[in-house]
Amino acid sequence: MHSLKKTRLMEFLGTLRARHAVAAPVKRNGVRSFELISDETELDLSGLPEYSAKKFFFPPRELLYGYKVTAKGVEITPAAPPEEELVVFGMRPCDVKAVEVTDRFFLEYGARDPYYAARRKKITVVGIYSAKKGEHFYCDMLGNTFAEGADLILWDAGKHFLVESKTAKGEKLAATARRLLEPTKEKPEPIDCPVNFDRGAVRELPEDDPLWKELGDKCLDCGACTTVCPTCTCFDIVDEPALDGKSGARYRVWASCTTDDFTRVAGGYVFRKDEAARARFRTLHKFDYTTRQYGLISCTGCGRCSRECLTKVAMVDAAIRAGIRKNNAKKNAAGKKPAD
Amino acid sequence: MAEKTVLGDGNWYLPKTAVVKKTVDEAPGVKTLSLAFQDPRQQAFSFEPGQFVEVSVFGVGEAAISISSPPDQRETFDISVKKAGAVSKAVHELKKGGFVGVRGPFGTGYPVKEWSGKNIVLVAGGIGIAPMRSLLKQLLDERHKYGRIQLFYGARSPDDFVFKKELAAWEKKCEVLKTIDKTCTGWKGCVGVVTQYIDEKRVSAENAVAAMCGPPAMMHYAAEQLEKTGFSEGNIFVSVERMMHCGKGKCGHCMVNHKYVCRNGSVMADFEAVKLKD
Ligand code: SF4
Ligand code: SF4
Ligand code: FES
Repeated sequence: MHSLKKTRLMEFLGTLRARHAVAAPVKRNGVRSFELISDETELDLSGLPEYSAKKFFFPPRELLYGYKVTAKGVEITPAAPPEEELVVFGMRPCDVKAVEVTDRFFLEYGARDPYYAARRKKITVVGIYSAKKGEHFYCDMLGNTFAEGADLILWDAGKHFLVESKTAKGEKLAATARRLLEPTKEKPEPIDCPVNFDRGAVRELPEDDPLWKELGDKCLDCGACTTVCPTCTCFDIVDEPALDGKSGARYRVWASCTTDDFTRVAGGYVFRKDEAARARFRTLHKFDYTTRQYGLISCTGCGRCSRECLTKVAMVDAAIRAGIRKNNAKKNAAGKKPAD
Repeated sequence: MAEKTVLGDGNWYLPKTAVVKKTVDEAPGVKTLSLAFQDPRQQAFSFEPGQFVEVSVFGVGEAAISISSPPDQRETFDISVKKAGAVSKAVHELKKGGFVGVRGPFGTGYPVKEWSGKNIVLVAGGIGIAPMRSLLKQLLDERHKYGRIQLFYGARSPDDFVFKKELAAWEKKCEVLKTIDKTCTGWKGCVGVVTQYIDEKRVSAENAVAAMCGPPAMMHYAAEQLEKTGFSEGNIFVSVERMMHCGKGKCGHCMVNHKYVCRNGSVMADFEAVKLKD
């Protein structure tokens, strides 16, 4: 553990920036998002950025390969892997949790995704935590405790940060700013953020529960929720042919499960036809399916999906409410049990 | 290891060039293409009936297509494609000597190895016959290993049956029930939806397994009918259709509940496939 004076935060960031590209929360045009910075003073840690750092791990449009059809066959030129080291600075516990989720999904669960893997290898994650309650949305309720995903953590401890290296990458990064850090025996207060609702309750709602219709009726199929969600990872694979008609490139681009196109097969059949079914799918994907697949709830509680939604379709809220109701029912039942 | 290999070798998103060796017009809007990988090192390509490949027409896109030839067919493998989306239309335009990109094989196949000594009921509707051909040809190549083999095959009209010539040959080695949607002159076979013929008179669940592929509604009713005759979860195998982009459990398009059809399927045990609600 080291300590870093808050007055030296800019210097710390400057030192990191001298060696690496650094992405950090900044406010531009009134919106906070993670961007590559060229000036430390732009840093804005005032709240959870409206847009997460997902694009640095999984770009909205990513080149897979170029192709060229010749008389002899097809030449495929795979995208070059990123060469530059990147530090993503200032990720809050919920955003770090999102990294844990996407790492688990892209790297460990089933097939390893070579593009995500190549990008991820070059990224060092620096988490930040302040116990001061701000706009935390639901994230206080979802057990985001920096369990995995961060390499280095800056714990807000009043006048200074406690700097904790969690991995060899974090260790290495801290070493580059050693002159600003002082060893300390002080320990950060652990994050108090237990999951105190029944996470699986939403799964038990029947398919025709009015909740799904209520959510679906409001949904405009715009895909804003999946775009801002730090753990939504679905994509399309699309061709972009050049004008010569023989060459071009294939990309993957973010896709949204809230659109009917998402499950439309050639010939026109759509498997998840109505918005209610899609709202249900997205909610259950976050709170049920991924827990069955790889043991993690894939909602971090960041609240971005509800906040960005024009019509305030509150899927996450619904899942949490269902969970709280069930817990309360359990408690009540336990309370009513006659003592023998 | 050099960085470059990360996105080159072992990158399952990259298609390999395959050459069109032969095309056959099977039925209105349905063609079979025999393909061979250009690089002889890829000739070791092996698969199971029911598995699919991602076929690319560059500039148009990729589509998931079942392999329609049996695994023991060497040198080339077949895809049988119905004109439906942009890619399948482009595939239809290909001539002998043309190129496509191929990735795969992906997904699970029918567990044929476990079927020795069993009676087998196959149900196919429309272009769902494509993976069934792969399966049936493999079964018929080792006919002695299995008991009764029945194929229930529904098409819109007599003309719409795919693999017409082969059907005649199959009829000599197994029982084939063909049915068309509406009767027409000269037709002597059955009429109506294929599922209505799956009943206790015709099929027995005794020591039997069933495999099927067709439109979602057909599979739903076929599963129901099979259950009525005593089939149960675990001995009905369904080749499930879904939108697919990546083929390996990453793009999310094919998810049904917590399963990926491309990875946990496309051949799935009955209840999962037809009844897993998402
Ligand atoms: S839930 Fe809201 S943000 Fe998401 S697709 Fe529907 S309208 Fe758009
Ligand atoms: S589902 Fe909503 S609250 Fe949960 S991680 Fe995604 S954007 Fe955040
Ligand atoms: S096809 Fe991409 S996840 Fe199944």
